[in-house]
This record gives sequence, C-alpha cells and structure tokens, in this order.
Amino acid sequence: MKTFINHYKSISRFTFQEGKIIENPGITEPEYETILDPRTMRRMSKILKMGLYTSMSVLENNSGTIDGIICGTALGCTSDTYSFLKNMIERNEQLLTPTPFIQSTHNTLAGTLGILLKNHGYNITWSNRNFSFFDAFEDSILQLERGNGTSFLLTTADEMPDIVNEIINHINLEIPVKLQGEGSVSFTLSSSICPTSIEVIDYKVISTEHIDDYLKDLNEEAHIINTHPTFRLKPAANHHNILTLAWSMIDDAFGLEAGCHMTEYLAQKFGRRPLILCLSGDRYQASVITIKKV
Amino acid sequence: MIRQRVVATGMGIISALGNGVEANRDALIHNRHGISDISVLPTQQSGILPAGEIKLTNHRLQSLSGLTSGNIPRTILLSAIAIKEALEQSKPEIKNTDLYYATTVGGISLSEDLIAQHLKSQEPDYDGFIYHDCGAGTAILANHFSLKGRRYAISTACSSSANSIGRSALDIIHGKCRYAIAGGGDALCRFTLNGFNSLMILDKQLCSPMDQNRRGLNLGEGAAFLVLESESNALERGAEILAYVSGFGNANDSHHQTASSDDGIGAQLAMKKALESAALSPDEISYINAHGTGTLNNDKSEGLAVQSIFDTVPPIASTKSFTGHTLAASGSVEAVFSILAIQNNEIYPTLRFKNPIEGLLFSTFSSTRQHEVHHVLSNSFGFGGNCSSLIFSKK
Repeated sequence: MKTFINHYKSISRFTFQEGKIIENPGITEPEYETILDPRTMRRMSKILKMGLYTSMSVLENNSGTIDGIICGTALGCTSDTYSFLKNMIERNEQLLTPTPFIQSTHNTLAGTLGILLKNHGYNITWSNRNFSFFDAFEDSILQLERGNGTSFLLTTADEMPDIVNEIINHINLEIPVKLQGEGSVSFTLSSSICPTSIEVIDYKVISTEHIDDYLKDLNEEAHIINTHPTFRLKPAANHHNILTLAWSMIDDAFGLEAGCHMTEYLAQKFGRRPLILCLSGDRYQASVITIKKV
Repeated sequence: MIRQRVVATGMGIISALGNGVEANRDALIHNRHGISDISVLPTQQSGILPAGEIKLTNHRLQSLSGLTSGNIPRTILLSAIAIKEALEQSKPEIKNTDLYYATTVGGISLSEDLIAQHLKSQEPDYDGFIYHDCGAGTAILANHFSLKGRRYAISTACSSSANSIGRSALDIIHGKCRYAIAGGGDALCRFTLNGFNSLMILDKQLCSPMDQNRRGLNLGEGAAFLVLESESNALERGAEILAYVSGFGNANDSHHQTASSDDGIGAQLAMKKALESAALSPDEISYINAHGTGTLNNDKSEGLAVQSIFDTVPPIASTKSFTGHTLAASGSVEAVFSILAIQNNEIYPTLRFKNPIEGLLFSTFSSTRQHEVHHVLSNSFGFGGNCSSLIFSKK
C-alpha cells in the first residue's frame, strides 16, 4: 500500500526560497487569529497556539476528514509546567490555580486537537527526544498500513521558554541543543492520492555508524537533508545535493517539511522528481525518511 | 498470513503494595492496601493527602535497580526495578528486544527541586535537567539493559502504559517486533500531587472508588512492565506463557482536557475497539479492571460507558483502592493484576466499597474472591480525553 503526504505546514526558523533552505535566527509567529478563534487561544501557551495553527492550516484545504491525531513533542508543554511549578514553589504548595497544571501534560496538544476537531479516533502523543517526530511519523504510516483509517493528522511541536534556555545554558551537553529549536510542523498522511501528494517511499531506523553504508548505493540524483546531530555527510561525488541543517529536537520534522518543499520545487521548476532522504536521529540510531514527488 | 497471537512471558512490578509480582499478589489476596501518609517525598501535603507511596528512598531504589551513578529520577529507578524482574522471568534475546516505555511525570521530580533552587538563586545541579523529558527514561533504560532494538516513549497521561502495551502487541502481530518490553512508570512528586490537589479531585481520606460516597482519588506511584512476544516464538523457545494480550482499543473522548464526558463516549469507543480487535463479545469478559479513579466524574462516566457496552456487567472493580492512581504506570500495573487474575482464577476488589453509585445498574465488591477468569478487560483513561482499553486472555 502506498502512503502520501498530502498537506504540510510549519512554523519554523527555516524558510524555503528558490530551492534553498534559509536558516533564520528564530521563528516568526504567524497571525494566529487568521485561523484560530481568539477565545480558543485565551490562556494558551505558545506550543499549543503553534501546534493548533499548523494543524488547522493543513486541514483547512483538506476536504476529507481525518481518522486520528498523532502528535510528537520532545519537551512538551514547558511553559505551563514552569508556570505551575513557580506558583507551587512561591506559594509553598498552597492555593494553586489549576489551569497551567491542566495544560502541562505532554498530550495537551493532541487532546485539544481532539476537542476542536471533534475527533473520537486514535489519539496519541510520542515524547522521545530526537525520535519524538519520527515515532509519530512511523505511527501515522503504521495506522494507514494496518487499515485503521485512510487519513491522519501528524503534528509535532516544541517550545523553548526563557526558563528552559536559562537552565540549558548551565548544562554541559554532549550534543548542544539548539535553543531556537522551537516551532511546529503538521502533515496530513493519507492512503489516497491528491494533486499535492508526495509519496513516502521508505522510512526506517538504522544504526548511526552505518549511515555511510546506507547512502553508498543511492543514485546520484538523490537529495539528502541532514538534521542528524552528529553525522556529517562527506561531500562525495555521488552526493552532490547535500543540505545540512543545524540541529534541535524538532529539526527532523523541519527537515521533512523542507524536503516536501524541495521535491515540489524540483518538480515544478525542472520537471525532476528525485528521491529526497531526510536523515536525523541520535548518536546511536538514525532515522531516514525517503520521499518523492508523485 | 497467519495472525500471530501475542503472549506475555514476563512481568515485573513495584508499587505501594510491594516490590515484585509476588508481594503485589500477596497484598491483593489479603485485601491489604498500600495507601498511607506521605513520608518519603518532602511535601507540605504530608499528613494531609494520603498516597500510595513506595516506602523506599531514592538511595535504596538506586541499589535495587543497579542505576547507582548520577542522580537518576525516581520514575526511572522504579521502572528499572520492574523491567529487571520481567526480564529475569522471560529471558528474551536482548538484542532483539524493543522498549515501549511510558511516563508522564518523567524527571519532573528532579526538575521541581532544581527550579526551586534556581528561583532562589542557589546553584542547583543543572545537569539533572537532562533527565527532565520522557525520552530520558527510554534512553537510560535501553542503555542500562543493553537493548539494541527500537526504543519508544509514549506520553498520553494516565493511559500512557496501556498504549505502550497495545502498540507493542500490534507490532508483534505485524511481525515488526520480536520481543517487547512494554509498560510504564511514574513517581510521586510535588508537581502532580499539588496539580491534582488544585483540581480538587484528591481524597483526604482513603479513596472509595465506584462508591456513591466517593470523594476523589489518592495518587500513587509505581512501575510495571511486561515482556511480550508472539505465541509461536514463545512455544518454540519453551517460554512459559502467562497470558495472552488479545485486544486493544484507543479512542478520544473529545470533550474536555481533564473531565470525562457524561456518557463516556471515549471510554465506550475504546472498550468497543478492544472487544472487536479481540473478536470477543461483551458476555465473554469475565472481569473488568476499571479505570475507577474515585472521582465523582470518572466513576459515573465510566460506569455509564460500561453499561452501554455490557448488557450484563461482569464483576468489575478498581484496584486503585489498593495502589492509588499511579498515573502513566496504571495501565501496566493493572495489566499485571489482570494477568494475575487469569493465572489464579481470582478477582481483585474495590476496597472499602459500601454503596452502589446511584443511576448505575451494577455495583462492585469489596474483597478478593475466587472466580473463573478467561478474559479481563482493563481500562485506562487520561487527561486530554485519551481512553485506552486492553484485553488479556487465558489460552
């Protein structure tokens, strides 16, 4: 069975112009009101607003209904978590307001989407560091392959409030975390094709030390978008289309979104439809998603 | 393709009832709960809000788990202890074993100290923050047990570990996974204790789930894990089959971030999907391990959902009256209890039950009893409307 990415949208520090991925210092928040009801957004943290915005954007032009909601987040709702913690510490555990606690769980975004979309279907949140997005992506494909539906919303989001920045600045990390690494990316994944479809050719997890071997057999047309934190592509003859993005916990999702733009651009401008590999992961394991314009 | 059946060949648990499967069963059959005044966790709520606290310090948990280096969060220590027990029983091939871990508290038990010190401009051990996220548990546990396969982390609040068991079972059915360690853990911490308290759904006395006079829930802590594999794999290597994982349903209530809908539509759908996937009719279920938190809202909503599915409701009870609500761990803690019920033909009660809930057509029971058990339905519902149901079966 084939699976397709039919719509995609991000709030990302990367923008895509004329076949190039441009890295900006940080994200630019959109005018949420154009899509979201201001009353809905009252008391919502940035991660929720971003996640709802990209989700609603990909569903806006999607006439079909979705069968489930699959979310990923590395750190979850850190600003509401902090807000409740701070209150709890300052008030010595007395007379606390519940709202930030209610909105602090990792599945707040998926739950809120469930309510707004009145969707009673499959609903899950993956929160697994560098694999938060990939796990959610894989789950979306498995839901389709296993016949649990024909269309799923996949959203991954993270926020980096000042407090997280402050703390991370004090930590001596083996792999530095990109502090601008916040934003949201949404996709609709479907088993049916539409005019904007991009086909998911393959997805897998391989050992990080075997990435070179894996890429060796690629044909020279293929493009690689690398958001892996430690693996660096060697500029070999058969890899002349290399893009390396800086890394954060959500950049694998940005990488796939950039791959979607790239494949669209190459098809429209040059009529070419090469394989695009989006590579990410951690020191031990690498995730590879391969896509191609239909 | 012949549909693979999924079996549990190992299980491990640590809860307020004790460390290990045997200690937990002993408490269950003797109707002995583990809810008490909080004495290990430093909190203002000590002496006010009772909880299913494990009376072991982090230091003691470190040596029990073997995770002695660094300041590993309690959630992960508890999980390591339960995984160790499950692995010792099943002895799967480690190199072909995937980890499906679930948590919602994660490392916040450390972060809450760290941020308190940070706010007071004391110099905390900032490095502890690398354990804050849910994925930290997956990473540390996979490395600790030298697991080389896929490693997942799910966080759907109180249904988290039900989802990790359900998803891993499906991966085994579809030939994607050889062995799975599936379950979850959550430790008591000030964050969740005060969070639930701010929602005014904690009982200051021992909780009375599924009772007309219920006053709320008691929090608990714990971890539980199953080792799962296909039936053919277990038979081939001669592993003892404890029970079958025969059904799984996941649905969303789509009603409110923390409250259940009046008719429990999410719960209904989750139970329905679980029954369908197990190809069972409701009258084949011998026992229901209810989500049964003890809140006014949950128990009524779940009850209405149950009676909308079951013409005759089988014996049903909430073992949260023993353990407290162990949040992300509750699905796997109750999976272990469900399997014990199947193995021993006994059903575990709702302690302290006196009065049936008005408006419900069924009630629960207050002490462990002998009962022929073939299929157990276990419910886990959470914040965000996340509802999951699992079915465990004898042969």
